Amino acid sequence: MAVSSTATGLDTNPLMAAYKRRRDTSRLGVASKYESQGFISSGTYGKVYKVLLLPQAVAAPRPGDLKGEAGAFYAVKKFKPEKEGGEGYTGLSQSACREIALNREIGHENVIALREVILEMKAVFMVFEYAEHDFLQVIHFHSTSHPRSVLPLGVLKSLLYQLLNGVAYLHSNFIMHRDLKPANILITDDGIVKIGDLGLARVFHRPLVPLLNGDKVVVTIWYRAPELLLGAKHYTTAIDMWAVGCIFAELLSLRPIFKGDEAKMDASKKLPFQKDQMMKIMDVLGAPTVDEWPLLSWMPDYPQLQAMERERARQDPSKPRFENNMGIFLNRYMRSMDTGRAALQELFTWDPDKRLTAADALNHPFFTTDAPAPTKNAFAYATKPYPTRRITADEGGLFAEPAAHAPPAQTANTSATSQRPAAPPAPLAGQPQASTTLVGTSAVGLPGARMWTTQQQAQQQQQQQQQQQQQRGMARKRPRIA
Amino acid sequence: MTSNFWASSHYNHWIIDRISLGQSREDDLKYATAEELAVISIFFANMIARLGKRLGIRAQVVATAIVYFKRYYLKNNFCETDPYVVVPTCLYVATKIEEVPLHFKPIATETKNMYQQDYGLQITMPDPQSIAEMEFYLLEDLDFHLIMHHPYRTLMQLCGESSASRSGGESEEGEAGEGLVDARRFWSTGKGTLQFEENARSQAWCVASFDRHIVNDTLRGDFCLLYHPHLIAIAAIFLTLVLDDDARARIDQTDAPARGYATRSKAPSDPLPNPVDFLASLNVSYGTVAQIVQEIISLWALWGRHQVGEADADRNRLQSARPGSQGQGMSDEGVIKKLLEMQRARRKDEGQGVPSRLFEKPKPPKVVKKP
Repeated sequence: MAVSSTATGLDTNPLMAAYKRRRDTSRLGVASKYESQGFISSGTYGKVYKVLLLPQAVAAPRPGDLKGEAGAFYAVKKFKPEKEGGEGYTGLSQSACREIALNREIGHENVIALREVILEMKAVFMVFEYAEHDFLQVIHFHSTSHPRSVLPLGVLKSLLYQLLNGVAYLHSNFIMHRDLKPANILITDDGIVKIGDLGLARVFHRPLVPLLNGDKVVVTIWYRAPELLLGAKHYTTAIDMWAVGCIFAELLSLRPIFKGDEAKMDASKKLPFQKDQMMKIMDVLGAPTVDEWPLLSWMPDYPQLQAMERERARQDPSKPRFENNMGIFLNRYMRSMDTGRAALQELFTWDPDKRLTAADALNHPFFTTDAPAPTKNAFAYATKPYPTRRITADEGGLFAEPAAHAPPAQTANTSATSQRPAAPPAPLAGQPQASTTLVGTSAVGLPGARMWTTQQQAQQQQQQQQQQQQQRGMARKRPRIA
Repeated sequence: MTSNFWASSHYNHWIIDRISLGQSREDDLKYATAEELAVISIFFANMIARLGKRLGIRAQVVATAIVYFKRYYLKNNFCETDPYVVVPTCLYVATKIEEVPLHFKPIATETKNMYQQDYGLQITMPDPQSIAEMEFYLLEDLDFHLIMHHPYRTLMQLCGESSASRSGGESEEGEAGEGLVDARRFWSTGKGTLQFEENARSQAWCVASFDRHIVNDTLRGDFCLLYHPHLIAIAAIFLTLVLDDDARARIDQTDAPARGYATRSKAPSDPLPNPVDFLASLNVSYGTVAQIVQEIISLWALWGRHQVGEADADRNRLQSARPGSQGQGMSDEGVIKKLLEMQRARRKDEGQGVPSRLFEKPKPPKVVKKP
């Protein structure tokens, strides 16, 4: 730019340099308000830490902040600055902006609450209420217990009902979440469901530009609705409801119902048709028809769908068509629950306009007439306590300068320093126990969370886990949005 | 909240009273008169709109940026900050929040072009880094409250779809394609909208676009800090009906007794809605609306006394409202010079230890809740 000196930024401007100094000196930093309890998870956006609120920082510092509770835990999401040479300010990511803007406006029991936002050291810290569990943890707990156990119906219904309650609130506020998946849905230790991670959420009330112009890819592949897979230019809150259906099914069967492989974007930067994911859906639901989904033939990728059907007919003349196998799934997991079966099928309606809405789902007989009724504490019907979140050593990451996104120190620290006495001991390498597969579970829902403080341990762990998973036929890592 | 104004940060934290507004300007008022500050305010709102136009940004985004700018200067002084950095930063944040993101580099380039070509500014141009860095401080001074409720929404709801959909090609427009679903959230009456027959659509279009121009003009004043957006919208409709000759003629023709409300369900053969009845049916405080109308007229009068850009609305219809004292007010150059003077004077005072608000911790503006 037109600045002659090498210095850039506000410091080159005498007025603004003085302004900046004044603001910087009057601000209370993260370290003076919170004490780190350890690292929870990391993702593309940055890292999440568990922190303890210090007694001197209980008051709400600015209008709209939430008053704190001394000694209470919070989760701090630290956005790493978007890299661009590493030096200097690069602007807040769209995702951070959205998450801040939306969280500052909303307030609902089933949506995670934002206590405050702190800008410091060129990084953004969002302080959220802390949730001890999440859906993915609960699913893993059941799927890896010996013998494998299912979710008690009361727990499943309560979790689902509270999830729907939060989704209904978001939708009534013209907010689409666009990344609902088990890892993003948190549960507090008193059994209250909290929808988290609004980084991909947006207000859809009269958008200025078509939704597709903004984010090319929304919703993690396994939870992505068929209209998105077929390249719809515009979409509705029904995409969240499809994801809720997928989560419902996953709570029943303890594994993702449509576990497709994501087709990667090729050099042409054109969005690829997600054939495998579509295939996985049609293997269960059969092929959609224009009768049940009148606008189907208008979908940009409808020809690809037809090609898939032709291919199927060619390959296996004995079974020339995609059959609806939902009955098998329902018989296996919801044999005697007519209303539950209906609810799931209504969520898996092909036509987004006819799909069950969150508001209607709350009044579904599955919840309103059939026992057990959903409970405010979703764990009321739980037979065993669920394991608490794994916390690893912080290694100073929370308060470190942002430039330091170097790999963590190679020296071995004590692993898994969970602060809560109730927490089960850290899994020991090589010992196949339930909690080892918790890798991938995270507060804000991204896989690959490192449960071990050294990279070698993490790699070892991953290898072992892959072996274990292969034995169980679940070799793949959970996908996420790039 | 994003849909319910009454639960929004806008209503709960950013509607302030006149006393707090005056207090926020105490420092600047040492170096400028209230009228000069008002002209500076118009000048910078114009500047943001102009930058928005250069970048091809929609009016709703520009409006958001202008409100950010105004809120920022509730907590900061013109004499102690550099508004030429704040202007592009407001626009940069607004594009992200309104989901039409632009990178700060093109914004910085266009800002520089505008400052040089349109204003002949001899300043250190804000480099991209300053904008990115300023974003942090702006967000902080805005208390991270970034979602806005603009009068455009109410305008579209009240003027109905026919007028809204006609306005698609407008260069500076609000939002098009309004649904009426949430009209009832705002209006306890839940009654219909001000609509026009098929053959009167072009007229409706004129009315709607004129309304919008008035709303754009209100962004140059302090309306967005003092009044609820729906009341500003109603004031704009009221002014349109008074100022627009056709509309006024139609009101005069209409019989005194109520003709009922036009609603979407009615057939087009129903009689034209009587705008007077329509406005009367709205469950709002007309005392406040009248006050807003008065202040809009005062704003135009003030604007008419100075040469800081043209108003959006056709102020010629307001001949009577503005005393013809053209030529002695401040021009763009005058504002630029005045600002430098203020900053210089402040620097001198600072050297002598005169304190200002910037030395204190930023105080939240006092919020008033009107029923």
